[in-house]
Amino acid sequence: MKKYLHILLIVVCSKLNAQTPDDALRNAWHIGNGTARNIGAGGVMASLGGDLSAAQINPAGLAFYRTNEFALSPSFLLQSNRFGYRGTDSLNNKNIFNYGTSGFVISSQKMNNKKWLNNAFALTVSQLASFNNNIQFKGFNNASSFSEQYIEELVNDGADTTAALSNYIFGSSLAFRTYLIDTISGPGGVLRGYQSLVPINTGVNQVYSSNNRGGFHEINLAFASNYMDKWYLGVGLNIPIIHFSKDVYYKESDATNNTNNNFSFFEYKENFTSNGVGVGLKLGAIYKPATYWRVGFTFHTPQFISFKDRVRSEMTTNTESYAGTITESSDALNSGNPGYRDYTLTTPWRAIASASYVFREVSNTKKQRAFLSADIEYVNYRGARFSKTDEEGNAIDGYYDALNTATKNYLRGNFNIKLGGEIKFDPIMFRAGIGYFGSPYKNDNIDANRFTLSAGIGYRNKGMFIDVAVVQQTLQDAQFAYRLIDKPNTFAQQRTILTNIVATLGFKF
Amino acid sequence: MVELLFTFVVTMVLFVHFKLFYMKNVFTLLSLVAVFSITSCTSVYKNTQMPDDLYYAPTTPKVEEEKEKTEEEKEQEREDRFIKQKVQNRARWNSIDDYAYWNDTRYNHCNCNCNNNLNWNSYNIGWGNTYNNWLWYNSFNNPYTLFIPYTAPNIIKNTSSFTPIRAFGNTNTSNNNFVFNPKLQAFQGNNNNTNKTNSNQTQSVGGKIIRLFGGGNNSTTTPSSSAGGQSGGFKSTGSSSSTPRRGRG
Repeated sequence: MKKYLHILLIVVCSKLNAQTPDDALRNAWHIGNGTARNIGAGGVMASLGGDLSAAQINPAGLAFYRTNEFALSPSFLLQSNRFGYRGTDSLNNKNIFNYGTSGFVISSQKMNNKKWLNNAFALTVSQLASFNNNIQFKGFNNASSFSEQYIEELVNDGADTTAALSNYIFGSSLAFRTYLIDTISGPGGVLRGYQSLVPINTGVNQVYSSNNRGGFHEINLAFASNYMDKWYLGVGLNIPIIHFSKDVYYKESDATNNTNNNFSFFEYKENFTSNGVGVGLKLGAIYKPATYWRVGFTFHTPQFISFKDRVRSEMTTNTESYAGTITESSDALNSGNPGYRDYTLTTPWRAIASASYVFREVSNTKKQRAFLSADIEYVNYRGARFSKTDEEGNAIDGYYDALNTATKNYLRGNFNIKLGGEIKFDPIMFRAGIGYFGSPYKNDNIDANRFTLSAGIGYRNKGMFIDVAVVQQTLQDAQFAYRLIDKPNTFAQQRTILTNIVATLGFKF
Repeated sequence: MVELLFTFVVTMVLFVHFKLFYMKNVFTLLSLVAVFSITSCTSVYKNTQMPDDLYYAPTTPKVEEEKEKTEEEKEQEREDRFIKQKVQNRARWNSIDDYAYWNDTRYNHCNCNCNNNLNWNSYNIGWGNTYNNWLWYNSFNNPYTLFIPYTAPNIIKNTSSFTPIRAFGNTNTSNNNFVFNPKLQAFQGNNNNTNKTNSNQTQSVGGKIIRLFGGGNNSTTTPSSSAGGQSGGFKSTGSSSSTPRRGRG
């Protein structure tokens, strides 16, 4: 009977560290992407218009188009990482190709309508964020252990040995089966709790590595119209497409040469993939209060993204004379199948207000001199929500409630500010911009922000244009290898310099 | 044009059939359109000035015209405006019934800048129109009507601890190690934020880390084999039997 109970439990309810607020943040806290012209000018586009990147920032800007245009924006991202973890710095680099806003816009003028003067339709694709990076750090720790999260979980759940053996096959069960953690018995063999075999008093050397891949892509179908050259209104349907995968390697090893303390090392490996596709809306307006001036506002509704996650994990522990070296994997406990979960993520809404001064708004390009623009954006990071799919039963409601509460308490809304401009000496243009993206974390102990500096140059003539931009982003963030409830959490302070080189080749037709 | 429509159709078909993860295909198709564009579409502006849509706006011909018009054209425009004003408000402008007299450049009949006044009036008309637009815009694009409200946080309904998730609520952080004090023959925290045994659940026995049910008190907590459940969100699909833990021997 007990055997069948084990089977039932494995089939129905195996778990691992679940979705976290970090999953929500990955899909919301990024600087975006655009054409080289847009990027070179600091990413401002909520009140400017007349550039393909308007389709993803403020679709109203497309109404400034009176020509047809096609553009491609390949880019190359160089990343230089520094992780400071408990007094030890780790450095690594990772470079990757990606792309900015690419696509086309088709405009049409209404000769017979004196109010709605012209329309524009655009189809664009853009990689708003690249997840490709190596998160690697190491350090000595005698305050806490990765293994503590397992004993915390088992004790807090009130798990007996049967549950510890079978109900957590992507985490705690692997630790229990490899004797990284074990039971504590009281008088009469009564289970009193769990212990970790890690000798924390003498400390352990910790190594964390996560090889991340993938990106946040977005297809935009946008339509805009020009009302009497005063109002420019736009609406866009956006289709986010996300692929994220990571190979995590974590190791703790004994910091001493003692071969009789029942612990040599343990390794944890995880392969995780997450794929999602969704839908959202972007609404915007640009108003011209006076010659040369433009003000814009755009609202991005939450995106509803359906995710499919898959995970496999494996653990090897060497407890020396205690139990020797044992390897256990989720595959072995799950007929070779990965763990899976399907759910919907509702991303935070965002709103942007903007103002621009465009000197001069004349058709003669020889008289066009410059523009200066500023965007201020508010993103409600704490509004991200996870929800179950229709196939899930009510038993999982409590889990999603807890997850959403944690997200709400862990994150906060914050502002992003961008300022940029261009000087034009037709047919050559020079651009520069600056941006600051505030911390999405409620906890002020976590130092997190993004700061960007950008510059660019462009050439437009004879029906084609070439723009090149470089944006250097300084990212500060915190990376946690594990989290505990009842102890101070330790993290690696990340400082990454991301240099994105974007070129846009476009044609008028 | 045909190439672009073709791209759009193929892209949407790809998206619908493959659903996701094929951004490279979309990008490749757009690259193909670029090749078509180079060979067939760019001839439009080869011999004329290529417009820059970011700068050009149809409202600005006023600005452009004012800079490029001859004095004769400007005079004609002022006269036209004068006539329009007179038609709109005869009582105010009736006394000024001779445009040529009052605008004779040999005499200065008014102390103000008449031209500016005329411009102001014309601008004011425009402003009235946009004000109406603003009302329409506000009712259509009102963020309060588009905002999708989230439900209020719910109370956790079942008995799972959701430990990995709840750990995000622990805002206490420390990146400092304990320092061994030879006098006391014990480790001490070098950070006020850090406490080696800051919870009655966290105890160190013989150098090992432990957690006890009920915080080690004489608790009535009874361990259960149904602990865990679906609280992690991940589900398994396999049907392998639960093998016992390997013996320590």
